[in-house]
Amino acid sequence: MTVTRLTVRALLLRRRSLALLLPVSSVLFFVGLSIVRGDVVPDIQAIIVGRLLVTTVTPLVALVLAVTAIGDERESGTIVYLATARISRLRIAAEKTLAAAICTAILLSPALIAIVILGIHLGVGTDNILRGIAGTLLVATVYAAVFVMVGLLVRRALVAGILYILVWEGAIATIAPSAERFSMTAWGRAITDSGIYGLTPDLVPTLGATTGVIALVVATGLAVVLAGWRLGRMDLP
Amino acid sequence: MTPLLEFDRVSKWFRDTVAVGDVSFAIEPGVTGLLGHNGAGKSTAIRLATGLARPDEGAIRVLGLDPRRSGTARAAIGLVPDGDGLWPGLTALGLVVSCARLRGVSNPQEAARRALTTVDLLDVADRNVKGFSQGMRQRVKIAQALVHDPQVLILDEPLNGLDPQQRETTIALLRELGNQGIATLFSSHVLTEVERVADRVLVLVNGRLVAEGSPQGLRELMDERPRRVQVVTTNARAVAAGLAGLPGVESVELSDDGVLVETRDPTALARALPELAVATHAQLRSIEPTDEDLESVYGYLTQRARETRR
Repeated sequence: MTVTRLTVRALLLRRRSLALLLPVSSVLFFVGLSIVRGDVVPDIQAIIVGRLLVTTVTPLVALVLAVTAIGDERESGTIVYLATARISRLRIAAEKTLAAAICTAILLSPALIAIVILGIHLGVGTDNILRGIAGTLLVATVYAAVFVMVGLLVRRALVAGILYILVWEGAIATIAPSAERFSMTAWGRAITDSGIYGLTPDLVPTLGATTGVIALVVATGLAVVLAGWRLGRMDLP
Repeated sequence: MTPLLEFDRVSKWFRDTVAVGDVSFAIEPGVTGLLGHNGAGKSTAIRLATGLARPDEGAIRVLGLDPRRSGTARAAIGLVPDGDGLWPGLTALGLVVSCARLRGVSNPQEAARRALTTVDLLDVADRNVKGFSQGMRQRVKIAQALVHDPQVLILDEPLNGLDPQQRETTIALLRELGNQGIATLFSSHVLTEVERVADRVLVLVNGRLVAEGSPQGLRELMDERPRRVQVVTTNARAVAAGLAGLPGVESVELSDDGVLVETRDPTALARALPELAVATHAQLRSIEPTDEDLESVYGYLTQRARETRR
């Protein structure tokens, strides 16, 4: 796990990574607001966890960290130490994904603590609180894998990733129910929101939690394999 | 016997540009210098040798294996890249230990300490590399390349940016490693550096291997080549007429402010010119070689290689 350790250290030592606490703080703000206002409807849990944390904040944080995990190594030239080692390129891609997912989880931890507090406040039950955390972490992992892959395929990976998050996940997949089947955040919401009773119909996920877990795991695996394949084919500096 | 590193008719293009063209050579224990001007294809050859880049044609073999596909082949190589990048937040020991782990070394701590001892950095092993001088960073890079006891050590411009003392230390280290039987390939664009370290030299010009052999042989080859000397003088016609009869002079041309001479014996030319100036009542203002830069030397070798092929 040396690649993971080196990458986690490099990502967390970057000052720019701290800027990612800004979108994370939006979750804290809305959780605080909701508690101060005394909201008790279960919709609040689905909106803050499903729509804000899983759909917007987690993909953004994972995007920046995943693209940086590969991009910085290529820019600084340290990737040659990995690529000339005995380990396979697939393993490098897998460990880069793991490192980006770990760092995303670390930066999201204030938000995860906040949703535990919110869940207790709303009385949604331990199961739903745990589903919220597990769903968020799975979404963080799939986005880490997908954006590591995108970072190897596309020159302007950050721009491509932001467009994807805003246009596909944030707009099309949220509005069009048929598109949900192909949305990673919808798979995540299927885990975080499917157990909450009393949601207004618009917020009830159309997919089941099991489908969500399977889809996220399969997508993560495919993205890692594709990233490993791409890394094996490309010339390095 | 299988060569430790072998290029077999290797070519690599970047769009329309030939970075490495039909290059073949083999590396054995000892120090081999890869000499060439900037942009000659040295770094591309090194990237190919280490599996970082794929050849468009030909084959590269390390211990008979493809370094892009074989972990065993990569494990036999230690690479010191040209770039200065090192992972942040690590001590010298931490960095070399990490590299040892990446290469599957069984006792990374011990191997890292041994490698740092080889490059004389053990006393600063626990210091963060961020505060290291360029020479120390270079030695850390060499230590990480040695940590897994490679059979082939490849260094891309290892003397670049070093001060004279660091340069001496690094040269001595490379010679020592060569003497230990490690097949060491290092690139440089400075002939005198290569002469001091290498047992054998490969000369790349515009991606093509134009000469190979001992440094001494290469030096003799370069000394044989005709030199162009610009003589700025008054009474250029008379001086030119006098120069034409000198031994070794191959051509004489009048230029705007004097005479351009091509000679195989620059020493004889230097001795004869003052006497000639007196005899022709000319005033010598300057005598300057116009082709002592490496580009000219490489140009000569390229032309010679073309003539040999014909």
